[in-house]
Amino acid sequence: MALAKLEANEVGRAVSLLIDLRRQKADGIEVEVATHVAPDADAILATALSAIALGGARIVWQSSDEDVGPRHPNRMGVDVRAGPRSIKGRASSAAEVVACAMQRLGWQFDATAMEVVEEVTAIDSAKGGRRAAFNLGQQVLHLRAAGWNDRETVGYVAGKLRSHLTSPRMVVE
Amino acid sequence: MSEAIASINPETDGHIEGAAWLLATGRVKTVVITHGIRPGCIRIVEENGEQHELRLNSKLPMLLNLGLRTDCLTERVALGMSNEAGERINWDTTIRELRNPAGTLALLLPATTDARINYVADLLRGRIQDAEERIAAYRATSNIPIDEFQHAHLPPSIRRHQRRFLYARGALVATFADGEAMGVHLSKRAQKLGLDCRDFNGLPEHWWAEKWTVIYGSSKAPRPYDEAGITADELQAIVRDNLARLLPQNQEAEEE
Repeated sequence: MALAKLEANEVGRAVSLLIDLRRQKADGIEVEVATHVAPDADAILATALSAIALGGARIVWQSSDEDVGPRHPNRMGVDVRAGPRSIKGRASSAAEVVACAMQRLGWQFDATAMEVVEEVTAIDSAKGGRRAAFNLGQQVLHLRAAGWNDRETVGYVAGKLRSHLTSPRMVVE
Repeated sequence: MSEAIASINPETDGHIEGAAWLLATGRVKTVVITHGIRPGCIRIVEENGEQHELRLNSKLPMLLNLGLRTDCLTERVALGMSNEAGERINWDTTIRELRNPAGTLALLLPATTDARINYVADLLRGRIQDAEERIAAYRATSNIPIDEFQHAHLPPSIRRHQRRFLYARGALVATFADGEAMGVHLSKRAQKLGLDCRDFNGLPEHWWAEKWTVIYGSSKAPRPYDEAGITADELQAIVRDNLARLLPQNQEAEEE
């Protein structure tokens, strides 16, 4: 992932938030990942990645116009207005910001996982060129139309993605 | 919804997307994947017990085989074989991607045959709904007047994302008030002319403004409609005033 093109402060904030929430989770506090209602591919993927990085999290839906601040110390926001506890990924995608943060924390993404992040970033930044008929954005829309709820979709994507990520303690030097 | 049952041999190329298509279209209620039928055909047992077989052309992808047998416009649009006007088009990537899944589709496809059929059927149900909406939007927008400023207003029943049908008919700028969002959107052609929504006067300041759009509310950021500050009629009048002010100089700039 092209770290250089991302806003470094958003990646840094995502790293801090993931570390903070992991610590809280270890202390028995329920942690939350907030994203916007009617989630698109970026919101779904960023939420799924955050939930994986946290070892599970409650998903909260909110307006994309709202940030996440100190009133919710056990929560991080993805693909919503940037704030003290939320990231937007406006220069790329929220998913790419979270993915870069996870990599900084030692997570490894295989080629498939990288491809998904790149696809979503291309959709989100409208630089996709020819888009696949069944890219993640289209699949999310089709599944919703077919009756899937968005929480189910996040869980499904996270479940499929998990085997393409290696967590820091699983990395063999 | 038909109660029919289809049987397909797992050695038939494309049996998964074929089964999914039969389920998604409601042609059958159940699909049995079985070696009890020879490869290359689909057996359908109707509710009344009548049986018939579809012989598949082995040179064609399964979904093209099935798509060519239907006159249903929604189904043909869903498969990327026709446009919303019913004209045949060079089939797009829909059929090819389902035949050879790659990228995110390959990642998200379940491992087992049954789960895979159900997942693809859900994708195709969504695709059929999308096709229905696009066809309805095409028909609903085909008689909408485009004014002297090449502006047109989408009816409230049509989601704003379907403005492309207005642009295809020559509109430069679209306004919308679809019950979820209210705003103005510039076509790519309008942007190339140098129009910039941020130059528009008279729109409420609490609306979100970008170069290509000024918008109040969205599916991602719902807002109370009655707090938009203006009505749909006022929006159209404001946009027309702005186009009267901005368009001539932009068109001259383009000619230069």
